[in-house]
Amino acid sequence: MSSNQIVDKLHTPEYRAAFVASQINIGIPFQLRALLKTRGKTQEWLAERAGMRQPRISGLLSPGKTRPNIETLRRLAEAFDCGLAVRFVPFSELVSWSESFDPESFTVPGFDDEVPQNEDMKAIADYVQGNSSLASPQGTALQNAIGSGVSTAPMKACQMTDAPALGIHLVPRGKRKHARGRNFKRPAA
Amino acid sequence: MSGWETPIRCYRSRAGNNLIADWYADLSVQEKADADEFLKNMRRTKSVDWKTPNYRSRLRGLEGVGELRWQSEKKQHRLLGFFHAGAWIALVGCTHKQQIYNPAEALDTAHKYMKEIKNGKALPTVEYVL
Repeated sequence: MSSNQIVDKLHTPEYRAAFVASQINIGIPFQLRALLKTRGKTQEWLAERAGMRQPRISGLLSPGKTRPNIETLRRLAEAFDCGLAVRFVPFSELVSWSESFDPESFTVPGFDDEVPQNEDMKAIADYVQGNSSLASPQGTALQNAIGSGVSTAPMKACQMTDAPALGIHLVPRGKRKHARGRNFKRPAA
Repeated sequence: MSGWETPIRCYRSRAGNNLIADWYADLSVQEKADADEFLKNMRRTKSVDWKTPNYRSRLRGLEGVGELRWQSEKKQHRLLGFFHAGAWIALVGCTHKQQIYNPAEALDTAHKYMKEIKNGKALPTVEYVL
């Protein structure tokens, strides 16, 4: 299904609401399975790290079987040692995320894997320690890292609706640039 | 992006109807959105990674037919089909509860359609575009 077909369907309010729910009920299991695969880990490993029983993990990996709440997702993010972004976003951004998600290549590094080479994380450390201001290059990186990188441009490009969607996905701690909807284009009428 | 795609195509009846499109049309809005998201992600998954719980390749008593599996609106949804000529061919959409398919003849119908395609007696399949 192309993004144009999704956008056509999103013109129906009922489908918009259903689309948001499907990103959680169907999309999260694909994210979790991809993370386990790329890290070479088992359901038992995740169950132990998250303090859950293996059958519950199995249910969370089955599309649509369970509806994970935010506390459950937080525990899973902690188990993977990555961040969790839960925020209201324009539909353009959610469609962009959904369309760019690839279960074969999706990966989120753990904190220890991203710190050495992550300039954003260094910028945060510098800022917290008082070594830079938001006006400095490091501060710009910091602004990008902590979320001001959510551009309003996709909203203007799309203008489908004023109603925000809800996006939930696992991200590296301190980095969520990938969720921008900068490539989103509304199809010609 | 890996850029991988496992093509999903649909069986057509002898009258030319896309029966998978008919199945989709009867779903609720939430079921449609969930099916869209599920099938989009399966399409982007290498066929060698089509495994449980998302896919079961061997169904009891039916050689060659497999099923895509997901849940929506507290129902277990199934799309029966098989791999053929580099694509996965969807044959029958149905639900499943306590070992029973709805419609009850879903498995037999899927097997019959698969034979038609393998024997070259079916109309050309069409891309899954819903």
